[in-house]
Amino acid sequence: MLEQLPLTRIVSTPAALDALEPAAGSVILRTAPDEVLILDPASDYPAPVIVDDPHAIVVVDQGWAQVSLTRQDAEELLERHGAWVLPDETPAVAQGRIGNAPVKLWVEHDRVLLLVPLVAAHDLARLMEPDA
Amino acid sequence: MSSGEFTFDGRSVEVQNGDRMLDALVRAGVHPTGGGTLCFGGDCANCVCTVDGVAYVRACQEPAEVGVSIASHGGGAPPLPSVDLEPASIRAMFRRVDVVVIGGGEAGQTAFADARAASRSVVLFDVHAGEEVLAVYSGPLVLVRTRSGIERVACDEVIVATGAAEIQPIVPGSDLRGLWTARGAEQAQRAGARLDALVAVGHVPESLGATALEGDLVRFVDGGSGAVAAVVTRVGGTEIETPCENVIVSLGLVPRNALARMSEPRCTTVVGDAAREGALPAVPTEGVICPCSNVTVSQLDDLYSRGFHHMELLKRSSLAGTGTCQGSVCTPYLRSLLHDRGQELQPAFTARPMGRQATLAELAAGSELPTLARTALDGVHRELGARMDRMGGWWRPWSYGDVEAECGAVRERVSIGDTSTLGKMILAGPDAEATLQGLFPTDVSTIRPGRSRYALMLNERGYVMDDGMIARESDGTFFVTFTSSGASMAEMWIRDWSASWGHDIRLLNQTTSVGTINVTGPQARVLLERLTDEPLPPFLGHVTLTVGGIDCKVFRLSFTGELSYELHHGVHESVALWNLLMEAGADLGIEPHGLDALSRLRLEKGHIIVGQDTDYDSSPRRLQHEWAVNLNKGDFIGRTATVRTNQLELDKKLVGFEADGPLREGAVAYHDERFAGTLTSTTWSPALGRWIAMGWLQSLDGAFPESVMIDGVSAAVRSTHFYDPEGSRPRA
Repeated sequence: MLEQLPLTRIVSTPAALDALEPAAGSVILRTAPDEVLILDPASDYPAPVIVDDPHAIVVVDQGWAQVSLTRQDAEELLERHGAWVLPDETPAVAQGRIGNAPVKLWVEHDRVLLLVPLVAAHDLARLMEPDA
Repeated sequence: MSSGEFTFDGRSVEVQNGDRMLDALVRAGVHPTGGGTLCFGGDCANCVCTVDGVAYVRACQEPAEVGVSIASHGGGAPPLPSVDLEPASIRAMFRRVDVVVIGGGEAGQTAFADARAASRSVVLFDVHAGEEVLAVYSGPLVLVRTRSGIERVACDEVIVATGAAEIQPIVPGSDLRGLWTARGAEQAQRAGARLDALVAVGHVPESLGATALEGDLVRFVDGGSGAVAAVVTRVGGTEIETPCENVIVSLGLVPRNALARMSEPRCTTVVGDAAREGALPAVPTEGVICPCSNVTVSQLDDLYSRGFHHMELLKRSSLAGTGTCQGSVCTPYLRSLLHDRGQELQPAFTARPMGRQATLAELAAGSELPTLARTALDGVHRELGARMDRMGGWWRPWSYGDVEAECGAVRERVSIGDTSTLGKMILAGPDAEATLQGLFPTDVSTIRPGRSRYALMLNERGYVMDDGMIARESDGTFFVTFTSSGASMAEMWIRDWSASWGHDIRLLNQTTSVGTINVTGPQARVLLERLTDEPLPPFLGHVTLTVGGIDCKVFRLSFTGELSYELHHGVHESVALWNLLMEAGADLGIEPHGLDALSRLRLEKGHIIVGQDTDYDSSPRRLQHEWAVNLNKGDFIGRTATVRTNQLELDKKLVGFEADGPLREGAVAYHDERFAGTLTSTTWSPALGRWIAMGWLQSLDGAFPESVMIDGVSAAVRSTHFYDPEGSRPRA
């Protein structure tokens, strides 16, 4: 179900992050004006990236777990344990809480990639059980 | 056609297909609460009862189910549920639409159709379809009780189409049996109830078969059994008493708009009868005006005479309108009374959630237990049999079974502890140093690359908010740690202040991504040198190296008072690193230590825990941490307050206590029978062979006592540095 996912986490200026180009197969999640997560769900290790900012903080972050859901499953999960809904326009990044676990979502037309910090993955997995 | 039975207070009551509970009860001649006008509209409290242990159920709204057990509330508060009541779990659902329509009548159906025609997503809730709106919160967020659970519906607009309620009679005797509103009588007759000797006050349909009475309603007469035996009306100046067994009272309609008054006006539309002007009933002259809260006319007159002239004030001062029916019955009369006493006609008071009674299970539906973070080593601790506890938002190992043995391993050999919960952040950028200089009272400019320093974080009033370490990695990059529970607040604090100063920084909170294992004890260096060929850092230094092939940032500092190294690493390698250390240290007598041991060890050493040993007004001076404040380095948050309060006489300070008897946290210290302070941390110290504590000591008559009495035990006041006061062991 939830699997550990390495990703690249970059904190930099908004302009430098605006200029980032994703490598083939990777996805850039803009989680804040000054932060992105870059992930490649099919790869064990994220591709290196170049940021046009000498002060940028670039780390490989192993503290996340991922699961890919159908849009319907994601909507049902949010209906039961969230107080928000998926964005209609895709692709899009959505962030919020499921139960009290902080999650980040990469929402595509019919699939949703869910990211959760490993420290909260245990609780989220419990909420994802059908009878939770 | 009979479909079965339910019981009411132990008596069998026949149920017919399509019955609501009240239909079956009135057909059987039962009044659920013993008396009061029955309206069948869900507007009053006269039919509430307990159904299968759930109190405050409106019998007029609920379908009659065969086999249920119904109990009256007994004229007062409902009985408490029995202790063996099965815990209920209510399913919660959330959805978002453009429009919520409340009410399934003609106006509601029209509003629903209009919204659909305008291509808006819309949902309609109808109480007669088992969908009862309990509350409308700001947002708006509509809370609905449905047959499948509790729905929370976020929307842009709420359309209230809940119709109108009939005004109930408020005169002496209005708590008797045999009283009906016009709609109530109509429904009772439809259900098959016999309403013998039926008279009517006000205009009612002829089809009800009641004898119409002239004049205004004055009172109902009790026949002695709690049932109405006559009704008194006034025609001209003459009172006329008419014998009867049932009375229909028709006093007009008022809008049923409590949910509209609960909702934000800018996103609320009221349609149909719910938007009508309310009729004003005759002003009551005596008796109870609010049956739910038992508020009388004379009480209201007394409050009025004392200046409570507004609906909102009258409600708050008398509690009228705050009971079971939430003002449905008394509100028209309160408006009428205030108008009669000379006030302008006032609108009904504000309504607030909940509009209907709800069970604890319904209230809990959709609320989630707090997520407790688990470190990457959580499973390891549990496998080792650790007693886990919740601390600072995390599951942490409190002890592995023998806390004194854990302390012994740290003091005499080597031990490892999971300190992954520490707040950990990277701060970089051209203004990183300036930001830290502004936030911390230590002179950050003198921390060289590869070095670190303990730092307090103060608020504007000069009181300690948090503490941690500042490590410089390069000219423009720092690694900063905070307490486990303080990291989120510290991150916001840094972001807010750097933004207000216009600083150009980058901040990354790595608390959940970076694990930390503390290797501590006299043999800590021996252990690590088995796992790395690279030089370990000096005291308060830090280096990046590999330990057993795992990339680590190693900090040499000490919370336990012994030689210690903190190994910061990616959380995906925490378990591997833990196992490597345990294997490599087996012949050294390595043991893990939990939070209980760590707390005792740091107390022996005199290290504070912010939040436990500090209070809301703990300045560095009161904590005796002035050494951590540099007033000569320039401005920082809290400096002005620190300079000002340093000129005041010191009124209390954090000190150490020693005693031969037990000391407990929170205990009060006395000196000459005067309050002299409280204990914040206590422990039996294996290393010192006596009880020690940290706590606050008050100045008494300008001097600090040198001894105190705590729980009948004499305790000596001393420095907090009980163990190795010279600090030679962590520097070894």
